[in-house]
Amino acid sequence: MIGTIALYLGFFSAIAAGVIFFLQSQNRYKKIETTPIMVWYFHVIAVAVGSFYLLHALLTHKFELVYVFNHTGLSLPTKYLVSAFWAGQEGSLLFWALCSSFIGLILIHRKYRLLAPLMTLFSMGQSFLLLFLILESPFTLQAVTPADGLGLNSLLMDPWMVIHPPIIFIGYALFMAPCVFAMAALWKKDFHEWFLQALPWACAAWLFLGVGIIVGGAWAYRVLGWGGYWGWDPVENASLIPWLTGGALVHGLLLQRQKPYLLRTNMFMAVTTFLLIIFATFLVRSGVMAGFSVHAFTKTALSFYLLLFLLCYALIGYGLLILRLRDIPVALRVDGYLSKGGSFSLTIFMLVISAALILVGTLSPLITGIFGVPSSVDETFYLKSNAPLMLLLFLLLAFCPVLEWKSRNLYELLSRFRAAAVVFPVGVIIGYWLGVKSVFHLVFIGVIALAMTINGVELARRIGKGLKFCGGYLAHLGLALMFIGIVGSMGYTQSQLLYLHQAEPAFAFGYEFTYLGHSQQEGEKTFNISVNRTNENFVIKPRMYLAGSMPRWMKEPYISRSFKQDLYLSPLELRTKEKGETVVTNKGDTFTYGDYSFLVKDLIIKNNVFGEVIEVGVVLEVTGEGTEDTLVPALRQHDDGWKSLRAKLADGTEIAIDEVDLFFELAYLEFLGKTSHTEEILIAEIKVKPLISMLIFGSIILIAGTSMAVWRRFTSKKYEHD
Amino acid sequence: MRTKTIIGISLILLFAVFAFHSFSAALNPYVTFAQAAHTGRTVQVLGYLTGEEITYDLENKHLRFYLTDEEGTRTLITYEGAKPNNMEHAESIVVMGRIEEGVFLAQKMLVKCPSKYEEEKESVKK
Repeated sequence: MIGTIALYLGFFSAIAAGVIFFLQSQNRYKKIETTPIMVWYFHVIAVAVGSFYLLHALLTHKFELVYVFNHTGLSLPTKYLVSAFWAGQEGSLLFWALCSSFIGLILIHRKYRLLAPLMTLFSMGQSFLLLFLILESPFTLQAVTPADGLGLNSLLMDPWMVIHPPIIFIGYALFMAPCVFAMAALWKKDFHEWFLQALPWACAAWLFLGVGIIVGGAWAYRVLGWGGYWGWDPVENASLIPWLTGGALVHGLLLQRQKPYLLRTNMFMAVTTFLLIIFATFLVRSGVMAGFSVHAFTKTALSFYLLLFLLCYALIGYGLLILRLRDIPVALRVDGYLSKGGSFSLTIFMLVISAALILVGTLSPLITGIFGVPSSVDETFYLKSNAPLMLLLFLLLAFCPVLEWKSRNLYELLSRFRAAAVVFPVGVIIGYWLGVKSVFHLVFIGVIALAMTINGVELARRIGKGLKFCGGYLAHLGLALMFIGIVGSMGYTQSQLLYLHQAEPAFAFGYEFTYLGHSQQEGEKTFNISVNRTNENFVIKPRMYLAGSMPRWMKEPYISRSFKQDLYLSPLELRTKEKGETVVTNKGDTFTYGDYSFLVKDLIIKNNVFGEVIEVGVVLEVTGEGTEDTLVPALRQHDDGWKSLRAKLADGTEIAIDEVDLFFELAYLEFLGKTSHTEEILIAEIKVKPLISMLIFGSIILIAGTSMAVWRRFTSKKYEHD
Repeated sequence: MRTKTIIGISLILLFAVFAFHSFSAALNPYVTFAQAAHTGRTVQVLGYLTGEEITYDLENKHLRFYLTDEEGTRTLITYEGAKPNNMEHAESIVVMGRIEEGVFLAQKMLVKCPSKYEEEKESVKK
């Protein structure tokens, strides 16, 4: 009840704040009165109370709430009770609204000149979020209070998954700020400051979204056991696309801060990036991609309102942009592509093209559905079409530290590169030596090496000025390292399915695997596998465990990390097989087993109409213990493979055929009786993934560098120049 | 200036053609087993488990199972890779691959879970 009231109060206060801010924005430059600010404070309190109430309900197991029932259980540890807040879409929307309300508070306190129009547009977005929450409330009650909840999906019970959604949603919430800065500037035809004010927000939004994406990848790699970190799934792409356009926005704003370039482009990017954020939300929640994504989101009542949200901001944003196109001050013309301005413009262009390609790929089932049979593109499209763009981006990255405002000619530029150019062949040779054979990959590695060296040198030169000023170079260095990891792990992963018979070594990728056995606890099996390689010997313990309300076996991979490569082992299935004593005989042979003696009288072969063998049998004459009998164990072809038809002796021993060699008329018979034992076979998938360590290391550096840039932007003086 | 513009435009056009080509080359239509058998190219089929056993074929080292598509055609699927978690409980399965001699050779498998918001990733690659 309290929660629902809080949401309604939040909704109406957001609208009220919007209306009052709007009225104030009509008389320009008048001092902001305290009324709308008080209303906004009230709004923040309402949303915070609602959030606290949900948190409280989760922690105290109020199963009368559908949301609590669906996402938690009595046995869930406290940390996962907290993370259940954002396990479902209602809770994650509430978290988004909470972040957004606090961002509004910070905006108010930063006393921007265009605060009234700014907050009018911001309140509008906030009203939409609260409207969604009223329509799909996390506080919906159910008639009967169940004794226990369904529990949290066990795949989500991972530290990375605890932090992944909130980071993404902070990013989503932050991207609303640059958008409203641009729209407010267009509305009031005041273009002097918006880009300076929007820059720190855009940087922070871009950082959070980026960290969220990376954390999501880490979770997929560690927990899901399919051996990858990025699957080009619509849900993943939905956050990558605004991250790319957000990157374009950040670079555009950084350029505009120094010289009046790209005035219209930046406005467009600020609006578009936020629209793509709403579109991402729409895509994963509306069910339009339901048939094409592995993420099973159902269609919700929100689709229409999300579309309304999107249209509303698109109409205002693009509408204003078109109306005010002539009012926007004239931008400087970029002085050729081999200038600072030119390299920034090209970077933005590449990022936008890349985002557009991924968008087209993601929507391919819908696009092709218009013309005929819905088809979706596989990952080759994303990789192939983005590869040349990424190569060009790294080429730009290599050149950009030495570029100046005035364009230079290519010859002059290249002559400055002579010393650094050595790195290119060195990179290529190292790549080749490590086993890279594709020419494109070799060139790419060479260019990355070049970019790293030049940015590294520049970084070293800058570090004296203070750590604060190195963010960009550090971020670029991290990005370059990440791409080395991406090339290695995406292009050169090897995988093999292994059938590990207990105590019998199996070989793959230079490793020797020996399955030692498993230990079993309730609902959990841990496998012990000894791994041997020259000078290395260790035991790894992948796990399978039962989880969920409808219990099923989850497979936890085991990852053995090293600088050069990760060894990734997912257990797939544990099989038990009876293993007896094998006797190899020839047609006409006699042999004894136990108290019996046998004569192999004949081999029977049955063919089908096409002449294919469908059954083989071995005719055995058995004598012993006063009995005389003829037994015919056989192998028969079925739809799904060969089935063994066993024969039984008087003492209970069974005879099965393992194999029959028709050419030499040999039969491999297996005797399964008192002396036989069961053998365990573990079926496992082994992957060797090169340079994952580089990807991780690069990600950390990228995040660190971007964080430093964000810190700088939030603390810098208004017109500080490089 | 004019030659530069021409070079620029032709480069962009070249890239557009390249992007369109890789787009159409990577397209895998959603079809039925009957159509899949007919075309022989790589396609995607949405199917449902028949209740028959999902087994690993120890000799040929692949996973074998049956799916029926929306038209009710039952086809044997082989897949060289890991069996996804919870495959038995799948609401539906999308297999991507092609039909050879009546057997669907899957390269990729997507398992869709019945539960509501479970953000599970069950994509598995060869």
